[in-house]
Amino acid sequence: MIEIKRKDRIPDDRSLVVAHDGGKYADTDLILCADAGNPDEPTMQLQAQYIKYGPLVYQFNTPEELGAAIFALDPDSTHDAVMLYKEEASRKKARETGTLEPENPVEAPDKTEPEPEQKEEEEETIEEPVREAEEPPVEEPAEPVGESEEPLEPEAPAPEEGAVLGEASDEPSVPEAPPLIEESAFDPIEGGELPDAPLDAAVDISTTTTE
Amino acid sequence: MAKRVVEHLFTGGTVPYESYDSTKTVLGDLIRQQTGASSTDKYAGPVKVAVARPNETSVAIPGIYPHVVRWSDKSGYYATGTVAVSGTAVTGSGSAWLADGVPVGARIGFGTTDPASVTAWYTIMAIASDTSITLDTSAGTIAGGTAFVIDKNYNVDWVFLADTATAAATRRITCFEFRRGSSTFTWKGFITLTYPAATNHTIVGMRAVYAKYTTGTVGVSTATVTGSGTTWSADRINIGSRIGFGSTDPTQITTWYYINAVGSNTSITIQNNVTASGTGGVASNLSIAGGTAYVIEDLRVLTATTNATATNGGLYMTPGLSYDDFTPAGTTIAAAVTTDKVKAVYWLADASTVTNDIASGLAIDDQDSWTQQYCYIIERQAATTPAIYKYNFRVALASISAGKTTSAFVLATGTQSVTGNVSQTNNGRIGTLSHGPGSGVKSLYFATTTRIYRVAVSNITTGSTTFLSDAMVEVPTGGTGTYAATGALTGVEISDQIDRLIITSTGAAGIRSYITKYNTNSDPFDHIFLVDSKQLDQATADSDSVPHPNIQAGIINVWSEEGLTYISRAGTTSAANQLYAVPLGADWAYAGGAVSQRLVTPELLTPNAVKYVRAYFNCAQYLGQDSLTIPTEPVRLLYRTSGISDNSGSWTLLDQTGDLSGVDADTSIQFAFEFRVIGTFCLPNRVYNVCVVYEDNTTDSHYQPSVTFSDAANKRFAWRFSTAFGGTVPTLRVRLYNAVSGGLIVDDTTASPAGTFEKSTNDGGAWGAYNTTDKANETTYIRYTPASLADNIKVRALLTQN
Repeated sequence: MIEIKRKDRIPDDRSLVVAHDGGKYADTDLILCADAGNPDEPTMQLQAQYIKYGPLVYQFNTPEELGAAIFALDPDSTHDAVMLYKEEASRKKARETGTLEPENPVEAPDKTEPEPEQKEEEEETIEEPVREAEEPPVEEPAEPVGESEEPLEPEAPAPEEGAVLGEASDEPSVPEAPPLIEESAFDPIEGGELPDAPLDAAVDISTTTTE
Repeated sequence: MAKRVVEHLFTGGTVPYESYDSTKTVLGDLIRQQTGASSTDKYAGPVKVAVARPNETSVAIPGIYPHVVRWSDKSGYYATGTVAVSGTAVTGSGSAWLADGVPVGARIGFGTTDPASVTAWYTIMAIASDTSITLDTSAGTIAGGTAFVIDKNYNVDWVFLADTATAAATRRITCFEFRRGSSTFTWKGFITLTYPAATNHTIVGMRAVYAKYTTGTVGVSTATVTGSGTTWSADRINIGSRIGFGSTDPTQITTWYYINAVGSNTSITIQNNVTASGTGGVASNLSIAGGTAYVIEDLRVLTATTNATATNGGLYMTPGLSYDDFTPAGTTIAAAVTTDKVKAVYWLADASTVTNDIASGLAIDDQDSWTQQYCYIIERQAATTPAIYKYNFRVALASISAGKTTSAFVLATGTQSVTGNVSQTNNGRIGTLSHGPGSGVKSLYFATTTRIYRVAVSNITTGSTTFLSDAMVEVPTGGTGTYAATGALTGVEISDQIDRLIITSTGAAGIRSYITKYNTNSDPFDHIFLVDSKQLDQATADSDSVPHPNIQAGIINVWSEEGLTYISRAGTTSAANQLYAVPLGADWAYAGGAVSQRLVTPELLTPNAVKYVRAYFNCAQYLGQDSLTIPTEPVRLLYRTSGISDNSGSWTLLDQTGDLSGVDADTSIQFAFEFRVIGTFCLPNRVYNVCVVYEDNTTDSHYQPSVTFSDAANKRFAWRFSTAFGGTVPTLRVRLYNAVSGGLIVDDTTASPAGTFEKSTNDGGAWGAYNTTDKANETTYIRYTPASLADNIKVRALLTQN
């Protein structure tokens, strides 16, 4: 949204003034303009973003590039391209610092808790290790991950009038993301297969002479 | 006879074809002679292929749909009268610089009327009158009565491109300036059109319409221009247009001013600087006497668009533009509101709710008046049932609301079925061909995937469902046994200079495009051209590579202007969006047509020639370096031996061996080159030199006169057989001339001798009957005794082949 005031001069053509009622307009809304000498008789329409930022807004082919250019001019801009730029910048920063987190993390369906360690029993006799047959775990279909419609990162809140997003700085500030949940340490096991290694702890099979 | 060689290098003086001079190299319309530091820089041939990179300018704007304004087409030289020079001021005597159309920016040299002899050129910065010029730099002091020559060659095209970046509520139009003489593109800048319908537009057709207004004369006082015999208001002169004083020729204007108000038919106010709105600039302060010539440039851009909201599409017009609006930072043109003739974007709707909402191109008709000029849009209501909408974009606009008006709408036809899907973009071209079913008939040509359709303009009437005149089926060059039909035609352009259609395809899988006559006989198309070489011609390409128009499996759009074809590739990235200027009109198939595109040598003297042998020439076999060379297109050679001085002689094509043995010898010969350009890579060749080998009437080079065995007392003439023929000796001819008077006394041959021919093979030890056996040793001689010869005359004997 861009705020326009009536009778503001057009920066790129000082002979023109805004003839429209003031207010907040979408970036590409057409605003009535008039010759400064006859401000009550509009003769042309210009986009709100052009009135605010000049021909800069038509010098870029992608919203990302435009956002970066407007942000450099006006860090507090609420232009859609700037909002996109800020999103991308914050996401990039989080990715680079390893703090990129999903907004609504979903547990992996095959996540398993680690088994508690078993104490070794001291035995005087040697027992053959028994490989107990285990029933293979039932395979559950993996649920798709990351298909949430919500962004993985909380959006930067739109500032209210007069509000600022934190202190002014070269980099945009965003709320901290929740900590990542560690993924399961075990690989999923396909149904029907026995595990390659017994799940029980290994048993000492060394020979010990009786006393 | 002795063999002689006459050589011509393309480094000397030249004249354009319309100023034919048999003592100079003659250049066809698109033929240039180039020079440079190295020997391979000195050549003659068609203008070089040039490339522009719209997506790599300082503001990257991928551009397509080239449309061209031929702003200056000056050529030739002017050397009438004499001059006196003092610093930068040149005063003429007997000159008529303005009247002759000498342009600002032309070059002038002093001390000679021969351009080839000029050592220092000066640029003309202003032309005040027929006898007053101002130079860019001082030429010192030159006394009156000094000869001069002006190089008037000044060929400038304005090339406009439409924005093809992602659809948006605004669209940009880019302008490049192209100099034909140097084959160079220069990016001028762009404008941004703010459409009254603020939803996302896609341009499907674009035209930049240019006209000059020069009616009447003017006087200027401060910022007010008062006309005499002018009708500016009635003729709808627009705010924003630029005006120049002192000439009706824009190329002679030094300083432009900009119209910021049109008060009446005879009153205009002007400002010094161009502004986006056309008003609010610095008021001019001039004093120019009445009766002064002037010129107003009327430049406007028309775009046909489709829109994310379908009924926001249609025809849009931006009048009141000037060349100076195109700047590197961009000039934003506002959307109109309710006022006519403002410098703004108008929506020329066909109805309050637009029905021309699936436009597929834009075609412009000729200007009829300052209030009437039509354009046509093919409406693709369904893929195979088009309709045609007609507008008059110069009409007075009334009832304008939020920039929208229906005043320009004239009519819409009904729909009519076609075969093949109608092309969706840049489709439609008005023109009058001079051949085929459309000969002499102004028609609208448009493409479907398999055909080119013709619609006589007179058939475009309200509600008509029978407007189609005829259609041409795609039959590839050489027939379908040589090339498969593409079934993917996408555009049609008219090349007026060669009276042909340029038909483009989608380029998918490397399918090629065509140039052809329009026919309804299912004859194969005349030419197939271009290829998908995959070479990227972006700025970061290796300097050893040579840019050339290649398909890159993509759509190309073309515009042809006086033989030069501008080809743009419809990509949106730096790798895929280039604009090429290619001299297709110089192709050898059309070189001898109404506009000559030949390279003609001066008359080459062949004195005493008795037999022509062969012609040789050297040319560039390739361009580029090392692994990135690209072969040039071929070149062919013609000759004539008569009608040289007055350019009346007809030309004969030589085969690739250059054999001239069957040509009757003459005192001179002249050569002409024709170049293939419509080919695979479309890189025209470059000729460095040409020579002709001939034999003259000096003693045949196989024999040497023999003093030892010649005998004046017995009137006997002898020669040593010095060089073998390599076979049977041909018939020899002996001519005895009176050495004083030059008169021919005896003329005899070995074939049917009147006198006696003899031969010796042992150094004159024994003489026997002459025979045609080739030379066998170094002691072979022949001698001739005439049947009769008067006494006491000085004789010159000449032995030649017959």
